[in-house]
Amino acid sequence: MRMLISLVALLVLVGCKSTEINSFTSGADVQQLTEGEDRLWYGSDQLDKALRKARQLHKNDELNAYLQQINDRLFPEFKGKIRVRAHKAPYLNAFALANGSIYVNLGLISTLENEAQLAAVLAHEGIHFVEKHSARQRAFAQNSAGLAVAVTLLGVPLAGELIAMEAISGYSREHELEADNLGYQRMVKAGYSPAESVKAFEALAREAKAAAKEGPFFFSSHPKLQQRIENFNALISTEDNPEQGIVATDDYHQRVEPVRAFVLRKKLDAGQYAEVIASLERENLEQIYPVYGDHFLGEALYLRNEEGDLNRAAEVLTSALKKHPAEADPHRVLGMIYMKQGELDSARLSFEKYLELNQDSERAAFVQLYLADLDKKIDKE
Amino acid sequence: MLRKDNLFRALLVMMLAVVMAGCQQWTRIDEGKNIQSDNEGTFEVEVPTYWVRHNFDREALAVTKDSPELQMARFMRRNTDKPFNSLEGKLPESPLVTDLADYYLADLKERMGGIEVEKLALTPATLAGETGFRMELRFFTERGLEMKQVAYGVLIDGAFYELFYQAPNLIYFERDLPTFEQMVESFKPKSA
Repeated sequence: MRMLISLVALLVLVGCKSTEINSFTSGADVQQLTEGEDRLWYGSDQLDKALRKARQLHKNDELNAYLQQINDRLFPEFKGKIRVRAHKAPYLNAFALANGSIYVNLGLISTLENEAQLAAVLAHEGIHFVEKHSARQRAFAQNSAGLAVAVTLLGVPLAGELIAMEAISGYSREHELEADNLGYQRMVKAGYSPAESVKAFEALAREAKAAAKEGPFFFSSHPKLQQRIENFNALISTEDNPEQGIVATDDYHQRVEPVRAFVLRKKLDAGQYAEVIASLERENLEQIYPVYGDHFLGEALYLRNEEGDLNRAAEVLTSALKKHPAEADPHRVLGMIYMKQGELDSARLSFEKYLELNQDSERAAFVQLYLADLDKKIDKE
Repeated sequence: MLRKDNLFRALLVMMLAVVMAGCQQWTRIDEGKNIQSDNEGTFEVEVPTYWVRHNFDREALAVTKDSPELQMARFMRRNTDKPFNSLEGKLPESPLVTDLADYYLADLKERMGGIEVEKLALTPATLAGETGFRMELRFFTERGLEMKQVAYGVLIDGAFYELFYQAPNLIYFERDLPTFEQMVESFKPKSA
């Protein structure tokens, strides 16, 4: 399949005539596309449709409006031409298509810490569109492995729309650097704190490292993450007061808070235990994940089950229950830990407490089974 | 009398027929041959007459009635050393049923790439006398077609068995689900 995709990409590349490409200067320019650009636009429209039909878009009007509002502040002359939407995927990625569609994964939104950091990402992606990086890209063939990953990540068959794919898997080093530099200028011009651009990279670096798997993640694609951090540091060093400007941490937390629990659950469901642990083992955990942070951390440790994880999970969950005793899930996970550690009475108490708090949940039937098993074991003893 | 090129063609067709017969992709389940097992013979399942078996799926017993796109039942015994790709190493000692369900879901999501698979329900289930789980899931294709899945999982003598069914929600899922459930009831690991 990968061979086929590469081959089709190569054919598309060979079929493309080399013509001069001018950047968009305003929204009005989108009416004047060349034949090749028109084809890219069509391919991007097809991808938009496929994502919508495959139910991959996060239907939260308030969040989408917030993303759009930030983007319009960054690109006022393209208002109505660049459309930003939240993509359900828990991975760290964002991508811009040739038709002005920008998708930001929920995984990335939930990892960022404030509006200024999100603005840094959106400015970067918007530049890919404005500078027509899709059309300029000359390295389709080199990108064949990335294309295959992109197809997998989006979960939609995209062989017919390959022309849009480099947007998702990462552009060339040159285009990524250009997007970083011009995006940075946009961000500063819109009044955001320049220092947050590099903090965004650093915040994401923690999780990208934990992810360990190769992938077209926004912050691990070309150029290498560390080089991009250094590039941003160089840009910031030219500012008199890089901390000055809009940061909007509280507002961002308020708007993104429901997404964070959703993303953590999706990451656990997807087996991304190390990433969840990397997200949650932080000093300011309670500021970002006020109630449930410890619960997810405990569950991720329990499921990862490396040496020492069970004991650490028990500590985290016990401490969480001291703060929020009415939360049900920590009791369930604690019960399972005690059961595995042979502490049968403690396991029993935890399970009973769980059922008392949450007897209608899908896990309740399993907990009842575990209780029956415990009764048998306790009777034997 | 056959001309030389006609003879060559006839030979070619005969050779192709021999080759095709040797690697038949599908086998119809005829009456009296309903008890089927995987290639290693680790379990048995009673497959309805006139369903067809997909022979190229070497890892599992995969059967369908109309075509794999319309309904597919797949039964397999997972690699005992590393049953779930989502886990770094071996399965933890004495995993609980919900652990198996969680690892299975993560593994399924990985196998399905970035497709947005949604878990609809998770309940305990008994398979060959052992406690396992039953999970219902769904996803949408890029054309908006809703696909539904049912997955059973159970650990028997240290081996994880997966019993899986997938069909479009439109007509096929409900229609052939009872048949799949009957196949699940007939599931018998050889060690049991």
